Amino acid sequence: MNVKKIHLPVALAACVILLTGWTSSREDIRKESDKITTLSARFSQIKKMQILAKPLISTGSFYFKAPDSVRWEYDAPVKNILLFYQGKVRRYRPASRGFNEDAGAAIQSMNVMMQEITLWSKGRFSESRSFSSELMAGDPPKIILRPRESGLAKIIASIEITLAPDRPGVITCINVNEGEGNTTTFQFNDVKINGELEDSLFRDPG
Amino acid sequence: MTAEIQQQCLLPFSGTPRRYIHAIEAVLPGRVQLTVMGITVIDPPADKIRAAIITLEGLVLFDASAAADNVTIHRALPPFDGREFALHLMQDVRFIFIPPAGTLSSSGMIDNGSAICRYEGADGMMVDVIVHHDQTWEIEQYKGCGKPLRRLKSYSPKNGVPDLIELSVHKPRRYALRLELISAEPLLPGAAE
Repeated sequence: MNVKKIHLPVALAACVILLTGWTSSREDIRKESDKITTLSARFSQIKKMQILAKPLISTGSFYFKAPDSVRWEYDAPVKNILLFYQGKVRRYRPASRGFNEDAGAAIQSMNVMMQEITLWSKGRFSESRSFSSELMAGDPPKIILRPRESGLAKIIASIEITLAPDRPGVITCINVNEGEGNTTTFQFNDVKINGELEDSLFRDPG
Repeated sequence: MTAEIQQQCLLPFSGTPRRYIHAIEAVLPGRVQLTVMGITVIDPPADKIRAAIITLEGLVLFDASAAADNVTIHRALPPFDGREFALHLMQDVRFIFIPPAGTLSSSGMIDNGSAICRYEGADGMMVDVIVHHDQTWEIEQYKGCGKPLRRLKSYSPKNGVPDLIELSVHKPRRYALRLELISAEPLLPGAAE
């Protein structure tokens, strides 16, 4: 398995939230995605596992700036910042003086996954090399992603994206199903589109 | 006095089932630095452990149970998918949370007033547990007169649970873990299944 896939869930959450504005077709997705230059949101990450008696909840903020800058910032329980800027992925943790940066193959490998994000941010799901997509009409509408390769399917069984029924194109929830009762659910709120986001938000926080 | 010292040496180890969640900063061979979360369930009376490692984004990298020396791997992704990794991780968990195996061969008080106990295993493995007045502790594992195999220091205890544990491992591979406590809770017996 490629190490890149270790970071797939956050990559998927980061890119899929950009699917604003779709109504009933892939073409709608592309049209709406093209209108997005920036996006910010608050998120709650709810982790369920057999080893946990109650869900483990993380919170933070997500930022995107076209064409491919992402800031995934956790407030709790573990403060850290995941940045994708100018083709490079970096993770930073607060230290006594500034920030420490995670290093090694695991972080470097995320570059490939972030490149997948740029496809999804354009609404081009069918061009994804990792996932097939299915649009489920309904109230609320949903997108189901399934791994194309059996190797990836052993890591992630499926991803379900829920859109707000009353606010066209806004993603309210992403559920990552790893199988064996392990799930990670991202709930988004306070979504702001095309606001002012400085480039410095996506650069080295140190 | 001896009984009191021996009781002090058990301070690092909860005798009842507990679940711990830590943020773990790992410094691994090859200058690899990694930040993950660790979930550990221990059931000392049943001699059972369950340990999981997840990324900060929630992906499960590793999840396994151990009862005595039997390890069952529930899920493991590369590079955490080797049986050796699972066995070694469970040894780390035992070193941190479970009283040393073996016989208490000696105990006493060192010059600074800290209690010290030495445990000797049948395989020649030695573990020294040192508990300081401020309720912090150090644990060292070694064999013969060589370098320590494992060394641990705890910091900032609250209700007997340290906010921070630093573990350094020297053999068979060198790595260091910094465990920052997120939560610790008591459990009902049988929870480490």
